[in-house]
Amino acid sequence: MFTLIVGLVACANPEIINDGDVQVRVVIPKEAATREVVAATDEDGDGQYTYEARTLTDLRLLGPVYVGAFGGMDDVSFPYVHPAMGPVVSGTVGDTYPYGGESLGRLDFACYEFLACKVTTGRFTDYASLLDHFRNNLGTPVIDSYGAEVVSEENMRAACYEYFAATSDEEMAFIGEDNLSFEEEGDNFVADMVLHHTNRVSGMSIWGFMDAPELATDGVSSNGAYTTCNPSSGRSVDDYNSEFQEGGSSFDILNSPSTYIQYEDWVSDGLAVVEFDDEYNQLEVPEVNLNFHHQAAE
Amino acid sequence: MQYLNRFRAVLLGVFAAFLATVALSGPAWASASGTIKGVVTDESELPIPGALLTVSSDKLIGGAMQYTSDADGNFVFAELPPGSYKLVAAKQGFGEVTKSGVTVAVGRTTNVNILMKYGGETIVIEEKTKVVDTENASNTTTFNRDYLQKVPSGRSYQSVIGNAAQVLGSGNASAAGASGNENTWMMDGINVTDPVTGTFSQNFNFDAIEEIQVITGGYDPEYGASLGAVFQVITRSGGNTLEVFTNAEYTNGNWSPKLDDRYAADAAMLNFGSFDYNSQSGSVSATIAGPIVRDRVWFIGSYQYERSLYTNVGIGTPMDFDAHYVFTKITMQPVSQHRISLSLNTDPTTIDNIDQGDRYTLPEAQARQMQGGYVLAGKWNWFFNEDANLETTFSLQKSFIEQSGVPCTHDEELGYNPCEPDESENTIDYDTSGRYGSYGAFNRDNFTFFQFDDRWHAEASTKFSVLNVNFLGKHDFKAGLDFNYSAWDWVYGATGNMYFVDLYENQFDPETLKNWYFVEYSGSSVYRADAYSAAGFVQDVYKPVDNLTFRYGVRYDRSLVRNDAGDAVVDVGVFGPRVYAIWDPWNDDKTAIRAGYGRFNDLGRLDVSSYLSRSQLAGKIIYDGTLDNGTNYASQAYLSESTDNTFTYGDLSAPHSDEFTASVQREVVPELSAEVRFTGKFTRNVYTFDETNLIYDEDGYSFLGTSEGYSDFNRYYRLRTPGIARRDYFAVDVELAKFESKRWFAMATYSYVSSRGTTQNSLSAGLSNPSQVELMYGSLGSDVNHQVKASGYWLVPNDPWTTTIGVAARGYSGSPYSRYYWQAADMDLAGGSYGLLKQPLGDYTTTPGYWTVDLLVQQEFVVPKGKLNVRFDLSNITNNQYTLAYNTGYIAVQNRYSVTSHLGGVSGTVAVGYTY
Repeated sequence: MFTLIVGLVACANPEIINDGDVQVRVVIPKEAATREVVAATDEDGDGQYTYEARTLTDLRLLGPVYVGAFGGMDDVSFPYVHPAMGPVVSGTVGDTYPYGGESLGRLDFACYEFLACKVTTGRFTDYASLLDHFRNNLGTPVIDSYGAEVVSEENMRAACYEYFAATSDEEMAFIGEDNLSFEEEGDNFVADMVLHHTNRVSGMSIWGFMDAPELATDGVSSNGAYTTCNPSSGRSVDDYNSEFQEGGSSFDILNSPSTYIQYEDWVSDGLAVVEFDDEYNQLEVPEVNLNFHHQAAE
Repeated sequence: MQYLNRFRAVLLGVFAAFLATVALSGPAWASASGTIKGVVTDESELPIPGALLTVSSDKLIGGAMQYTSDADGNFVFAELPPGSYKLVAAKQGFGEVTKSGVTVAVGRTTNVNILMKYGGETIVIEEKTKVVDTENASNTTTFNRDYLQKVPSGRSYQSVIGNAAQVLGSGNASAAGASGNENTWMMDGINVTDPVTGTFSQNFNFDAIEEIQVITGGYDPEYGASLGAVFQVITRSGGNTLEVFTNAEYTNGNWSPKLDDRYAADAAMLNFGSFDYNSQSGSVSATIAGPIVRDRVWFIGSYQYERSLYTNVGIGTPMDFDAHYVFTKITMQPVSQHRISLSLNTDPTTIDNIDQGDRYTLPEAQARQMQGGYVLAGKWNWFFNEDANLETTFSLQKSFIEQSGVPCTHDEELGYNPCEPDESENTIDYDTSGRYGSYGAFNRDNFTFFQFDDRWHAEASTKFSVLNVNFLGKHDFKAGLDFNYSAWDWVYGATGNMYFVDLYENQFDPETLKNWYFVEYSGSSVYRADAYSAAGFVQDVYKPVDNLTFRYGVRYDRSLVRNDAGDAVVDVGVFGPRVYAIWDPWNDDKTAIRAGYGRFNDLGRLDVSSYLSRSQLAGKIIYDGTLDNGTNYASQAYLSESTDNTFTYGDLSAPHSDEFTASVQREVVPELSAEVRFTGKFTRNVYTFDETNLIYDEDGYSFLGTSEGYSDFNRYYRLRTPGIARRDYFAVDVELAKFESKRWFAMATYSYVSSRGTTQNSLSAGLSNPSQVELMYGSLGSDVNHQVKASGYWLVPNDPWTTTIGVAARGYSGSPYSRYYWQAADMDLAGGSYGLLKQPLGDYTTTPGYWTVDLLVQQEFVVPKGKLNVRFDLSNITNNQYTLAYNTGYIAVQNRYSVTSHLGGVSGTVAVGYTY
């Protein structure tokens, strides 16, 4: 009996962990990747480009997607579904939600100052794809610190390796076939994502939005930038240029999303509720449909 | 005999009372002695009762011990100090049989069976070494004094332990898959583990050590609460003969090839230039041991002075390591029933200019670290009779670490921190704020921080043994109680309550020096915490028949670890049952088949409580205008002043290991044993510490926000022991051990190890539990699959001058590494930085395998009244310099990790010793 008691006591080890991963499926219509862009062409091969506006559907036009788990929805205060605010606990509006969140694609700056706040990871297969996008889709070729256009993917690779002291493309988060976030599925692009380290509460709502790139039609340097990335408040990276800002994300993107949502962005159209059983096993994977296109009134 | 039986009944009653009333817990007793057991039989293999057995040794104070064989002819001698013994059996009509050369080692049972012939005469037999212990189940390696003197070991016990199987590295080594702070360190059966960090706390003069014991698994309930190994130093005690040992040695690091550059994880050299250095070290020591009263009072006094200088080229102030190791012990046995020993060990050390890793530190910004402590220990053995004894121990331990700027000096030649003209020699400046250099700028003005860290540990324990009890076989019962109190007083602050951070705007260009920001603190932090624990254990060594032994028992540990607010951070009461079986199928003492299970618990340490500190430094950061990015906190309250942002997540449970062991050992030829061991160890509920409210981007590089609010400093941390924080460890050892005879000794082990899990950490100084991705499972740092250890010595037959050649070799396959991504630099102030893990543990890369061979050649000369010993000690004779570890430091500039730790090249030591 003594041994039995010892054994039972030794094995009793209750553990309740309600923080963990939450699986989410993000669905965004191809329309969100369809934009009017300015194409650059160099028919003579003399480095002189001509620009022409055209409508293009391209995965590379998808910006970072921010998804969070919230307590509820507010469909009154904004022209789009917006997460409802929880109780204010510290006097700061928005201080009690979300429960967790993450992004699909992060803003990266890919070796050249020019690219700061314009490169979203998970959208480019290789350096050539990136250079091609900026030159031919956005009409704003990548330039180096001397103002010269970067035309060779080998040159860009060399610059990146030097900057990151890297030796393989695997260490470059902004390129790679395997790093692509979205897959094509009918009229949509879809991606599975995980909200890591989330405080799991049964019945909580999943909501998100996509920050679409700002597209200039006149080839200005801000072409392709994102509102959720403010170069003036990012971390400084001093060995490149002390004035060069990496462009870190702002900290309240999921607490005060309306600050960042602007025309052309795509927003979740409603609630996606996630349920857990008593042991915090997720019962189903909610789909977050980012199919509300926030456009300026005609 | 009737009286004896009655007495045993009383003792059994006491034992039962232990069983019924055990209600307390705590760390450690452990055996610091060995046992001789056996049976006296006649030619017909019938037991001879009433034979008088006498055991004696020059290691045994109090003179010879005697035992009268019982009705089954059995006898047992317990609490024997390690050494070589003579055992004499005498019985009227049977003559006298003497067995000499009976070896006793700590924690081992030496079986000596005696055959007496009726009408026999006095005979003397040289006992052959018993290489197989048929009563113990633990994975034990014992390094005796011969080994310590003849095998190259760096003359430190922290280095010797690395020659045992399943011990990875040396010092605070990872043993059997555990962390370096999950071992138990013992001195003469007394726990001397650092109560804060769980690491070793004492240094000894190597000549004061008699034996070193390493137990990596399968240990009895009497051994304490640890998830790793038990490392025990058995000190010398003196004897009836006066002995004097002296030693002087010198090592010049400049004889070695220089260590080299920093490498990237993929071995591409980074542009940091060479690390060229200059190092020298030396030590002198003297030990005197002998009798105060012959057979009654022995003493040993031992002193070692150690000094080393180490300089990185470009830094004019060498690191100056200055240590004194003092050990004294008096052992008394005034009457045969009582043996008492008192010892004091102390190891005060001063290290000036400690920061040689960073050559961008000017002399006035260098640090002095003072460290060391003492252990005052006492032990009382009360031998009630042949079969019952009580051992009571107490210890008082203090360790300290103090850090400050180096004291100033007016001696310009020293190149140390120069004093101001009106400043007194050796003044330590606590008022001038230091300037911390970044991106190539120098650290200057003063050392940035100071700390005074004092740790105390007091322990009292008692254990009661009743041996050779007849009840359906033979039993050796043991039970004990143990009480501990530990306290920690840690004052930490910035000199002048402020520090500055400078940088070169253009890296390495002094012309572009500017202040980046400065941090102001409201004062020092004072952290005072304490811990109580108590433990009880009962265990039995049960032999139902001669060739089968069961070792079983249970310990109960009760532990309370409190933080500075008096909150109980760890409050656990846990059982540790252990059961092992050992079978000697041919009953010839040459084979042992062992199997067993044990649970081992971690009772927490004081540094666990510090993760819930309520005494954090409260600082605010003020950016200089040039880099002010719109965030100026000058007008704000002190950051981190609210220290209630850490909490325990549920009640912490005790991290614990369930260990399964099995082995087969056989003496294949005389004095050569071959053994195959299997260890499976499953550790659960390891301590983890993480953030609860940060929201990361997809790749884990940056924060998107906090789930608790806008402010980036409003972050919450939790300390927990989840079941998913776990380690799974498997090892198969193959060991060959040739005990010393015919002038040579050798042991060799090969271990195949698999060590996987979700965290290696146990809240040590570094903390890297990834918080973004929940404890991913993968290869831990200790997943070094192939480990080979071989060591031995040969006494070259050239008497009267004796040459000894000793060799030690270690080989390891590579160690897996994870790649972490650091959090944003501007978040550092909020609570320290730690990495975000993007890939399964251990997937990033693997260090290359490496091996080393050390060689020790010594020549002994007979000189008047003693022996002179000249030694040449060469480590890493093939000059292998493989990568050992990736630096955990982060090169922010280049956004990646580097490798700085390489295996040291060949180095040599010359030493001269004298033995009186």
